[in-house]
Amino acid sequence: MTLDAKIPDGPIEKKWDNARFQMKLVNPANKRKHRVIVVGSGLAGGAAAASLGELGYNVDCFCYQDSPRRAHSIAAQGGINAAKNYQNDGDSVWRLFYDTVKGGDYRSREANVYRLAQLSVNIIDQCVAQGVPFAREYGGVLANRSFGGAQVSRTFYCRGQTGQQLLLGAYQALARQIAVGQVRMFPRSEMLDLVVVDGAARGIITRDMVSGKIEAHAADCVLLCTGGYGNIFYLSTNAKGCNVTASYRAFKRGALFANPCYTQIHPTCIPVHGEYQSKLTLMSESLRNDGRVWVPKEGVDPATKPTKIPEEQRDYYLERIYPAFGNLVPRDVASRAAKRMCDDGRGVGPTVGDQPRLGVYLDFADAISRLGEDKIRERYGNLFHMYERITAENPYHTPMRIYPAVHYTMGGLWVDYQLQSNLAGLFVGGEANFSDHGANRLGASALMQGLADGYFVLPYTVGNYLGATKLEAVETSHAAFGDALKDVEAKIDRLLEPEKKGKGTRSVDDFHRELGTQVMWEHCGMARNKEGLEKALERIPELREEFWSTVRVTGSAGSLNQQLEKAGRVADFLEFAEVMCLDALVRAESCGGHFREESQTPEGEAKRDDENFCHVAAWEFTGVGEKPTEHREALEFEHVKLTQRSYK
Amino acid sequence: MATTDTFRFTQSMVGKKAIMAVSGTVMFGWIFVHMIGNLQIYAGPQKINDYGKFLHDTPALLWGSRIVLLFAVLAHVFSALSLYGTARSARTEGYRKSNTRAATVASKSMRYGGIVLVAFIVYHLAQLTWGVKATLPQFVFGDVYCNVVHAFKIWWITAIYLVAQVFLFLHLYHGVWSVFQTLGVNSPRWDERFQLGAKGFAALVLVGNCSIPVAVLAGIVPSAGICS
Amino acid sequence: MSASTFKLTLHIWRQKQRGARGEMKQYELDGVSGDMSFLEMLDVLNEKLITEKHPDGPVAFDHDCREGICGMCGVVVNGEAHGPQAGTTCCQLHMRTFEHGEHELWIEPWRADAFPVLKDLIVDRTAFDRIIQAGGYVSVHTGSAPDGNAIPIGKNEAELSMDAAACIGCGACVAACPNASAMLFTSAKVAQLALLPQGQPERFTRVKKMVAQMEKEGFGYCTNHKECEAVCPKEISVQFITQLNRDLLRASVRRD
Repeated sequence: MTLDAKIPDGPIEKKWDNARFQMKLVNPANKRKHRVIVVGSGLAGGAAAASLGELGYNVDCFCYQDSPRRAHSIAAQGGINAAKNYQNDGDSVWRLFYDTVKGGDYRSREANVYRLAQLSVNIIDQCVAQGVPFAREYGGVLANRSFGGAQVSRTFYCRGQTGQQLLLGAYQALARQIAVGQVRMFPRSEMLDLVVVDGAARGIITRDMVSGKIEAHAADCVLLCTGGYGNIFYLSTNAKGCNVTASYRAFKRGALFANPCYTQIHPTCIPVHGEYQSKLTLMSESLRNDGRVWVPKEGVDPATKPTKIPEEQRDYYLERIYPAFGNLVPRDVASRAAKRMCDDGRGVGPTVGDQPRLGVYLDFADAISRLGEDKIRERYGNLFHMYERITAENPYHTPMRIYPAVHYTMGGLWVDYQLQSNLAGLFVGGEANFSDHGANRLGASALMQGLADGYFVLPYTVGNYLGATKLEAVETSHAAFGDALKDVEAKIDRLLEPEKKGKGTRSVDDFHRELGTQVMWEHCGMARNKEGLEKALERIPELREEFWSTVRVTGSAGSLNQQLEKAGRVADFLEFAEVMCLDALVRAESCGGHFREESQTPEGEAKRDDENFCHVAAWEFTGVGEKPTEHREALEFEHVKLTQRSYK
Repeated sequence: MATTDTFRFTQSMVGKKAIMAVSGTVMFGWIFVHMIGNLQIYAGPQKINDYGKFLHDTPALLWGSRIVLLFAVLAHVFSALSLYGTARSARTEGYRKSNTRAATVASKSMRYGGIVLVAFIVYHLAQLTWGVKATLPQFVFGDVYCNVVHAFKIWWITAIYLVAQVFLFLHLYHGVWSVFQTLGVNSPRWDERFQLGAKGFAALVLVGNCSIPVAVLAGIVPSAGICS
Repeated sequence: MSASTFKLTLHIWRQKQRGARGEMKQYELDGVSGDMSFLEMLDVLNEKLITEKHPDGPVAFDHDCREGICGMCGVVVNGEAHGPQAGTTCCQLHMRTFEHGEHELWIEPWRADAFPVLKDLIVDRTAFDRIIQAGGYVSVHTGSAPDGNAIPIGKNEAELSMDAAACIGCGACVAACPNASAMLFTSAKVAQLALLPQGQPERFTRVKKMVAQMEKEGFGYCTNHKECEAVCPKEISVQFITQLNRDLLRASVRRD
């Protein structure tokens, strides 16, 4: 299989215009004859479903939450980037493009990223028109802040709830289409399989999570906007329901999975505090604008109260190692530095289980004495409040403790420039695709990508596909649907089987916890090496075996059953974990969020290997437990020069 | 899907609440005037009896206000009953354990307090307006002063009036502020002032109205040689 | 960090499915740590019910982000929506709140006929979605927007609009309201858009449509107890209810 990204001709700034001009259009009268399935109702899915509905397509939109308004995009705090240059500080589409490619450690597709930077400006306009209450200056114009180490102020925000407000904007647009009957909404519905007819995606199988009914849905094409797979680590900042199932089932039906090993670890999360812990909480990295990161110097007892440790016994290691960027180095760099400190036994905070202390201090004492407590409260009040609620410590008086946590996955289903996967009629948007962030995503770029895909890319490219493709009418009575239904039902029966036979001994969560914290985080987390990955690849099939024979799923298939829902997701994680570890093993270089210990500079920084790995690795399913086949899409850089990232 | 055309303000819950607010305001205004009028009892029998005579000699004023008041009462009561039905059906299965954080004795007393007040008003009218003998054997039409004195000399009648005034106080305490909230004239800037004003007026009515029966019972309002 | 653990007696509403008869069941849970969130405490209980093969099975409850923003979680704890801590969803409520108090908890689902129970502590809140569908949006097609700075909006208006927009749609306001009214939820969206210039063209039709839908869903009415404001995890003010009332009155006397 050759991977054709179908990048349009012409200079980079004209590519999207050219592509749009060459697109086939669907006559308005014909649009209503088409049905489109959108899975997921976050920024990408919600925006796409609403926009496609506005255009006149019949849209069926599915989400596992009880309302499309709750998709996990809602949890993004910091903001959304756009190359508006309202601040007159030298920003431009080019600069945003350049920063994104560089930030992604040169593992993304130039043309896609350029389009993203171009569309960023339209997103802000669209959201403002919808009534998203962005922060404003006294004069009434939009406010910006600098974010995640960017040297220009291009981030638009709604307090610490930007994701929420943008999602509600998309949700409202979607609600408007639901009201006029253009979109049919299926909440509490989980996609359990993709139906492929004659090589094209033509429908999905879902489970109604209230009644347990398995249902088939047919359409002319399918859009997956189902988010990332960070929950494979069990502990992550993702919502509890986030899962890989939709993407993974598409993978099993022939869609390629690209760069699964690219995961982003966010440096400013609240450390783990107990074994019962169910998730990790992220605090906006804007905290690093005013907070100073430190650990006690060697020889100081890490259990000492931080306020009792004198200045000269503190190691402000980010400022020491990266004098130019200091506390504002990119996420991956800051995360790994924290890990190194803790691995050296200089971590702080409580010990959980037999782990070393996993935490570093983020100290606001200087900022408070410089700016006053009120100013700090104005900037970070909600975050400080959240921190205090979770830890019962007051960050105005004692430094915060932070530790990196899995936050975002850059990998995803492979798509071409049109956001179409190798399977015809299967489009993938938002975090679920692999396209724009390369090996590392910059802060405030996820919202930008989700909305760009949803509002401004997919409505065009889906139309182009429908206009250019002759599609036979397919009903759910087609044999392919029957087969997929049977597969799904058989799988559900298998999940319930151990308990029915009295062999169920371990809960789903217990398996998930082991896979996530003991296998994936241990061997495929912030730092990876060959030996660890091989160990993981050995352990995963064993764990999967144990899962299928001893998992205890109580209750029945024909009712609301949260154990069963979880079990299905964990079953997919247990297969997908192998693909992820394999990708991490084969990519024997360090880049962005993927850090291979074998490939580092003498100072311990990530060292890319452009000679051998300047490509997208896209994996093709060959069978459960079988090694997937790797396909490569070479990445060509015409406009950005490949350099070793340096933040010193 | 509800459309603009089908929307009828007075049929909506918000509309019915507005009706309650407006009718409540009318009643409150009346209560206030009624209280001022009654306080003339302290000026002696001549004064208050003349006031009563003046009202009866000006039927346009008396009946005009009675009709307005009657409409206000009916609107208030019927809206309340209709809304109460909605609230009942909005939660047919209640909590096994319930608790409140912001609600006050006053806000919680609105419904049953309203029933108490209706009963009291009927009693009060029977006794001192219609002169139903069973409620006040000594009633003499036109002798407002002595009617009042005879009634309140009996301790348990005074007690009934005092209890009713406490309910009226609670009703006004929450109700007067609610008017501003329900009619949308409240704002964060004014909220505190409206609340204070509502409480102040409620207290004023409480003190003013209670003073009369208490004063009679305590012998402050003279009766010897005036009322037989 | 609290090292010690404590024991709880839990009374939890158990109901098999929509329309079925439910009842409060009692469970004992040992080893509760103050650092657990309320939902983690329920996780631990469920793990116990599963491993002990308890005939009732694990307790079903809604939850997702567990950081207080998605609005999916929500139960009534000892008569208070989202539990006793102000401005906090129950996923962010930590058990240390209960460490030194009553060790007996009553956990019930949101109760309102417009929010039917689907199972145990899970309720159906799609009525909220239908209220938004009735008009809680600005009718603007993708692509038809003017430049973001074309309409200046004062900082104070934007901030106040954001105060209203912070609503997470969890339904605690309905759960806590003695009349099961959805006025705080509805008014938050009405006010958010009414406070912004973008929301003006549809301002008065919007409020009528949304209120009509809210009433059709079977929610109760507002008697100004302010219980909603007191339990709202985003501390949304009842001043937005005033705004809704005002706009609805104005809408009703306008011709349009």
